Amino acid sequence: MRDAAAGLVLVALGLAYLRDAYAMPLGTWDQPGPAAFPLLLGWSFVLGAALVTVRGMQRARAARRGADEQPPAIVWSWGPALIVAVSTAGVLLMSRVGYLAGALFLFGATMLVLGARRLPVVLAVAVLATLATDLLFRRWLGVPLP
Amino acid sequence: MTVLENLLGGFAVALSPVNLIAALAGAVLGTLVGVLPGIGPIASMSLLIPLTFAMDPTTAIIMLAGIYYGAMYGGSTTAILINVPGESTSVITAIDGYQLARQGRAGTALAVGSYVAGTISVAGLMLLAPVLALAALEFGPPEYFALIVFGFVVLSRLARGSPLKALLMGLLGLMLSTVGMEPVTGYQRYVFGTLHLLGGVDFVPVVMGLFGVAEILWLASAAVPPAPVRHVRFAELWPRAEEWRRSVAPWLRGGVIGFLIGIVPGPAAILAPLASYAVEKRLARRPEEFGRGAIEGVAGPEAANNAATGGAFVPLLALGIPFAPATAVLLGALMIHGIRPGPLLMQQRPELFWGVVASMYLGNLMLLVLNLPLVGVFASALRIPRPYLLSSVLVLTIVGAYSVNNAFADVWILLAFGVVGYLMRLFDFDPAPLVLALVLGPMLETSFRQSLIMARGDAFIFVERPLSAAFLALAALLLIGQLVAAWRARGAAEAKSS
Repeated sequence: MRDAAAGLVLVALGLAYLRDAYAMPLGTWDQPGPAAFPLLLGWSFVLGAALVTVRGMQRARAARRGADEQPPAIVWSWGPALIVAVSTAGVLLMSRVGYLAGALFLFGATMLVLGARRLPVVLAVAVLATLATDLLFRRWLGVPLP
Repeated sequence: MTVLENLLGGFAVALSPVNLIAALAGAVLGTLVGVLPGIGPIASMSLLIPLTFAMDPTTAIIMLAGIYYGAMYGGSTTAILINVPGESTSVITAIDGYQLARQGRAGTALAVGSYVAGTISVAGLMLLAPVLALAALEFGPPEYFALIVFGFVVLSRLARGSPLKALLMGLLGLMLSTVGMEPVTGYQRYVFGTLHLLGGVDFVPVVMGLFGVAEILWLASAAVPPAPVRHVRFAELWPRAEEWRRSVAPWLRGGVIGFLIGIVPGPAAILAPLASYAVEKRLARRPEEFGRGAIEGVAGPEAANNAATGGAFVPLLALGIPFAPATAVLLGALMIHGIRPGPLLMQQRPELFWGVVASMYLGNLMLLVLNLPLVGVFASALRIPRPYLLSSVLVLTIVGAYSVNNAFADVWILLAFGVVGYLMRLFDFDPAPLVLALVLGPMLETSFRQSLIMARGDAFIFVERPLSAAFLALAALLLIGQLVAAWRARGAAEAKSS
């Protein structure tokens, strides 16, 4: 059913895209307006996503009958969600306080989420990595940092 | 000017100290990212684009191209030494390469055939690109439109997973490319009142999100144990006389196969080694050795893998159309530097075209010299604990995304596309067509609208012009073939189940 679910989400995305496309000037065949290309894309996308949904449902039915293989189940893990949460917090910190505080938090927290266990080593690596990247990007390469 | 004179001019550019350093930095960095899991050549090239802002465009492209072909070498090193392909392009190399390494034979050194193949492909690029560029001068908007459509259809057939899903991802990329000021009238589309989106969705954070952050999320969800790293003695790396002799023909064949596959749309660097492996197995005097350590099973695919990178440069430099995600990133980098590759590039910026070609010769040579003595050093990079490595990659991608426009909006786009890339992997959607479509979208839309304006609204213009009709007919044939194959497969499955 996961293809069917993914297809439905994409159909919804395509319809939302089309809703905005219909608000734009369409133009004529000899002078196509800004909506012409998005409408072509949007309807092709909705059609394709609907096909993925239908095929996903057919495959799920066939798998239930034993005529098709069951797709491997999706295994839920907290790891990616935690990385996203840590990254969001780190970027917010960076935007409010600056690069050094944000990068220090990001380095340390990501290492811990990814399985580093020795806190003193994590802290030391985070401090060194933060200072090293600041030196490399801001001072040597002249790349602007937050 | 003759090709030779142009090439000599290119060497004068590539041999300048700053360009030599750029080629070396790109090759070493590429080898490292090829060895290490978590960040591939596409994400690394995007990551380094902001660092090239202060560079001359030629130097920037020399460095980014070095990362591209360096990663092909690096991916093979770990495939051969520890049976872990650093890149998907080295999966085939691992089959026989690892067996050779276990027998203490020179699997790694056979990868130096990449140098031979790299040279073949650069020669091909040098000879074919000017001819193709000359032909492309005749291209008008309908031909460009048809060629890009043809490219997408071919790519959808060759992409990982279902062709329909690949086409959908291509369409999604095209939809993303419509965000911002519309190219003909300047009308604002999908900007939702934000100034940041007026210029469109920047491809750098999107690519880094889809290929860099998504990979980190994927590795964070999978409990894959790090591979043990073998100590390699230099004596083990040097092939025997018989091994050299058996490698020459596969190198040459792999070079030609890789170059030709590299030119056509699709994941050439993955397909070329597969095709070369199949050819070598068929031609082998001792096919039973394949899978147990066949010299030809390493020499051919390695050569093909490297030659495909040179082939991929042909459509990029001659037509201005990238057919692979890595060359799409290069196109993006060129456009950031204000350069539009295409048929006129060789006339308007000969130093760039020939400088990049010459630097590829030099870069391949550098990789050959570096990789033999330093193979153990590169492989030992795998000893870096994953938490330390991946946290660095994450911070680097954030810095890279921010520095494109000095805006946090790009960082949020990066994280959002990291999540999207992770979900795409979970649901088996290939991100490569999305990246290509995002870069090619404006060109496709402009050529579509210009064609209609040229023909005063007559859509038959696409089938009235021979070249455009030929590309569209080929695309239609491929789509019909795909539908027929799917219909037959379904019929066979139903017959089997009943």
